[in-house]
Amino acid sequence: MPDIALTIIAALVSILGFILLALAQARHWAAVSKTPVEQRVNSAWLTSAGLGAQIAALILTIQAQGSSFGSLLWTVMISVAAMAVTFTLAWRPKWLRPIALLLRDRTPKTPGDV
Amino acid sequence: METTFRNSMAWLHTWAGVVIGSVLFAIFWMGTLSVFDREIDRWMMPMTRLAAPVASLSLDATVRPVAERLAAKAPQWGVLLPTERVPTLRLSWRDDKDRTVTRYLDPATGAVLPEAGSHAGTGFIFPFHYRLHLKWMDLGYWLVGLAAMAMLVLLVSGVVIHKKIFAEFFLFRPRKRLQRSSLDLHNLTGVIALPFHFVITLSGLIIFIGIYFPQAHVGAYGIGQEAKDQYRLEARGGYQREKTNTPGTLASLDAMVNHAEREWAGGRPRFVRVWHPGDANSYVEMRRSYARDITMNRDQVYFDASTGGMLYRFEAAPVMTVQRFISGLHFIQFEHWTLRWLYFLAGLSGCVMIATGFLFWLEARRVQHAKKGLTGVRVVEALAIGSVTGIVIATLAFFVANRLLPLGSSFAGEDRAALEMWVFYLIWLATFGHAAWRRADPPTQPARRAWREQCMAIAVLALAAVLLNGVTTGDHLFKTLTRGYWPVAGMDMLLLLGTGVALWCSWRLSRPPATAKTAASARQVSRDTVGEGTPDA
Repeated sequence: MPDIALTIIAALVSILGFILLALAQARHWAAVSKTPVEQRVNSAWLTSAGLGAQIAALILTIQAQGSSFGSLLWTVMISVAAMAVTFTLAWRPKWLRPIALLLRDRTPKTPGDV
Repeated sequence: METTFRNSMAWLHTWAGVVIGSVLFAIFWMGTLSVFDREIDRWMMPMTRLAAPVASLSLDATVRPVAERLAAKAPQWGVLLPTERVPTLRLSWRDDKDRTVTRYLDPATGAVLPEAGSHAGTGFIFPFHYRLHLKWMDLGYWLVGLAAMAMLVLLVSGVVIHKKIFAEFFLFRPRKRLQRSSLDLHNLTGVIALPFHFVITLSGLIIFIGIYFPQAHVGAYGIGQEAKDQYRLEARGGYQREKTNTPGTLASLDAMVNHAEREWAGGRPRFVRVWHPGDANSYVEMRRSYARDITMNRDQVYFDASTGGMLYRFEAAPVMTVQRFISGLHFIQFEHWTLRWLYFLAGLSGCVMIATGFLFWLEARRVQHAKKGLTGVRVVEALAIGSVTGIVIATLAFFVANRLLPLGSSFAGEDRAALEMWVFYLIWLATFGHAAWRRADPPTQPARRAWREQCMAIAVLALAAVLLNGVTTGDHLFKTLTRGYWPVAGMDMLLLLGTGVALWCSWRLSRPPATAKTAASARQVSRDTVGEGTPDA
């Protein structure tokens, strides 16, 4: 696969990872999904997946650009990716709603279980 | 004395930031622009807007005749070879008054291009970043070093005093009142880009180890000039031999280039210098390109000028290579457009961090100072406006002056390049005066008029720069975009983007300040921060 495509995928994976990390926080979940935090999948799962995505992005950038350029690119790229997610949360939280919908907890609840 | 460690750090963060913030902003702004210094050169030196460099360059056919004509009696002449970002050859030599003379050549024909008459990006903006153009007793280097140390202190103390570093990692509330939203943005740009800010600041200090830590070699090499020379030779390499004052010849430079490329397993030279031209003991120095690696290698090969035989070869030892890797992280001399743009964005985030730090300091104290009749906020606000929007205006005025001053013009003994710099400094000074004059009225409100008028000045100057480039060079945006001439198209587009952002800021500043419903928000800010939220001056 061309290096540029791998790099773009790495950036998208990093952005997705930061979205998961943000949605693991009750404040951002509520603002994006407009649903109670109880309807979200386990936040520890989201946090782990978000951090895992950053590691995956590192592996992809190293694969695409080599160890020295790849690790440097990753270091600066994750900062820009996290800022992009933050500004989306601040100005256009609706854009992230489709992702939040996928992260609703679909396990059936027993009566009285919230 | 503060009662807790966190309070002490808050005090340190607050006051180190206010005292050094103006210098830090100037360093960050110029550093951010330096990421595109070669592209700024193309914009400010239209005569160097050549097509992509030729694939096979002959130094014997292009550079040598010009150097032998212009620099025959110079003790040395050197040429920087074309790169992906610089389409010209850059020939330089020392004249009989020991001044450096520089000429740009067309690598396709060897033709000498008209004098640029500008220090532009590489000659003004980049050196401003690391020495503020204060050469007396290396004062600029030391001020920048002090600011870099302060920046490291600010980063560490900022992390210590941030109570909710993870809980507020993604938090920015632009609709809250200024004090709250500026603190959000300060924390956001500080925390999220922390790895970049830390690495870029520390590497900036490490680059100038020779200035900031001049005795570093003493432990290993001993004291005295001989020890210092030995250290320099082992660290940096280099070859010298005296003139014989008897005539000599110069063998083929192209053959020497080929020889150097074989020595470097395909690595290309970036710089070629002929020492003692025309002398029997003349020799040729070649330095390897940085294009393909982060590390700014110190690889060099020297040849005997008359025979073309290799005299000396140097590669840095591991410790020096680490220093050169760290330097390379900072200088980004490698060819990598994605990283270049990311560095530019991260640099801008540093500018935003410093500017919002100022804004938060001002908003946290404004009402208290007004009640007590103190002038601290007024003075710092004028300094902040001149330091933030002022240096942007001065930079844009520098670009506009470049397009308005005719080539070869001079005034009061100053040449065109110096006049451009005078415009920068005088306009920058004027912005401080303007900020002091258009102060906040009433003093409980921000100095909106000053900020707004300086934003308008940015918008007008950025637009004027784009229009003047089109009118004076014919390389208007439509033409550069359709022909894919990205150095000039990119600069014009960023200037237009700057116009848009400045107009938006100006429009936002012209709206009446939000007053309702935010007292609770202000109280929340005070609770969320230690020390900073409490007016203490």
